[in-house]
Amino acid sequence: MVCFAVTNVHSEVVVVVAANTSISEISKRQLSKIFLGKSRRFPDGSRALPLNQREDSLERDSFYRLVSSKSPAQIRAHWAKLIFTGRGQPPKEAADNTAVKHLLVNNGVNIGYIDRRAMDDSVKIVIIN
Amino acid sequence: MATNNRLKTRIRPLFATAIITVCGLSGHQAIALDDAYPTYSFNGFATLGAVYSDEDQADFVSSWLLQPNGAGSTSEWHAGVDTKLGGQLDIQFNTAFSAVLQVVVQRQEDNAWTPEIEWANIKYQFNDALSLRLGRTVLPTFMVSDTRLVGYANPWIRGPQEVYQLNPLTNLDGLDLVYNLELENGRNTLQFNLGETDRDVVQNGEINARNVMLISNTLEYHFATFRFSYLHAKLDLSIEQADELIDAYAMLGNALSLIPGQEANAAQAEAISTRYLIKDAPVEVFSVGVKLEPGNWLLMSEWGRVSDTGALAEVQGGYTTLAYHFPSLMPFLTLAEVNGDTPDEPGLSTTGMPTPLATEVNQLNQGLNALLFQTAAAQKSITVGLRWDFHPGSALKLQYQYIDTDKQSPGRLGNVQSGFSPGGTVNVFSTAIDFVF
Repeated sequence: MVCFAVTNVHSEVVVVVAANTSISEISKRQLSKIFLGKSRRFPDGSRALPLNQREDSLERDSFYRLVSSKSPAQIRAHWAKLIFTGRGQPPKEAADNTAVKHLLVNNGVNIGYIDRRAMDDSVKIVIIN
Repeated sequence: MATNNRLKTRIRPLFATAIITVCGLSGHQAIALDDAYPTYSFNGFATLGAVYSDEDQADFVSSWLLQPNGAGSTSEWHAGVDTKLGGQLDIQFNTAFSAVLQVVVQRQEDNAWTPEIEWANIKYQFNDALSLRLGRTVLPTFMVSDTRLVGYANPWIRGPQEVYQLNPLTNLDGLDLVYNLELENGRNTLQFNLGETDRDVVQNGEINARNVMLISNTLEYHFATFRFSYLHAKLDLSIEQADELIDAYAMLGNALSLIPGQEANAAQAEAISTRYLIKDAPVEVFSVGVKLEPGNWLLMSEWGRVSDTGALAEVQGGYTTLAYHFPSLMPFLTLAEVNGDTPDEPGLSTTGMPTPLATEVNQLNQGLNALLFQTAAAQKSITVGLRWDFHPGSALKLQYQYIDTDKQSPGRLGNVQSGFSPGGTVNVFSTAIDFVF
């Protein structure tokens, strides 16, 4: 567990959207709502289609800790609740950072997160405020 | 590129053989690319549980109306109290239309592991705020009614019985209207249900609720959730123990009315049979709940009250759970209590009756009082437990419950034997592994 915590510190995730998207900033609260299935919209009213990384990936753990301060186990229980209440399905999942960038560019989803080191100009960083 | 191809090829076979192949898939692959409707996703849940009870004259059961026996008198350890398997198929036809089918296998009132359709409904999402479901939906009496059967989604092995047994019905055939209001720091959900339901219960019985109307409101704000619900229904409940008693008083009333000098007793016998019959009887269930999750703490508390309905006395119950989330361990403590306003029922007077008849009437009166105490069963309990999320989607739970039954009833125990003496304490140890997949 200690090992995990240390690694997490070094895995800095950034929230990204496709480069041609108009969204440039988002509040941590709104981000948390979108990725916990509590909101379907960006603040400007457009539809939010979140994309997750693989369960147990460092990026996913770091991201959810950042936006919700919940542990992976708590997040899993949260999604189990939503699925089995018929209130929603968890965001789609991408295999890795490269897949996130690819899917953001090729529609279907419009917001995700990747390791900062995987950044390139196909996607745009969204500032969290 | 590779990822996208993989997603597309996976959707196609799902179209053709959704029901068959769906069982082998995990829940996360429902890739709803906009051009790929309808999409299917299958999710499952399971609990493997075992319960030990040191009470040898009654059984620890998940509900005395729904399980004929359990741990204790039937066998010290019992695996059929919490064990269950459920599967849920979600179909999204387009952005507005969707359908859900949930089937659950658990031990029924006749001891058989019969699969039952827990939910089967279609949903129309008018807009972000308003949705309508038609068909069989959850009956959301309490805060975790939605996930009552999904052990993994709950902190404990089972919802505290002191509250969750107040209404043994879990679903409703009818309509479900939800209005969701997104707030700056949370969300408010107003829900309205209308319909009817019936369910087989122990002792060859049946419970039937018609004209069910339930209104509930859930406010999630920051780390807090507040909920209330109000249910109104017309109830029929028949179980052998109650039916026989009520019939006996009715017959006695008829017989006594033919005996000169017994007119008063005849009328009283008739009144008793009418008073405790549960037929087309109005019932109300009121509940409130609070859940606070600041940081790693969890504090959850619910209280519910069921109105007096025939032989079912007015009962109220409550619990409070306190838990702390460590990375993969969660210890918890629950304090719970349920008690009923058992009617002070002297039974039928034996004035002027010959001794053999008086003896029989006294036995009948004792039977009636035993029934009234059973339905108003009171108990207090303390539970300490531990949840260990040892693997993604799997949790191991251990819990120890110390139950203090009241002086006149078996508390929430079922399959009560004649040798049972009320007013004692019961030690219950439960363990379960919960899965979602």
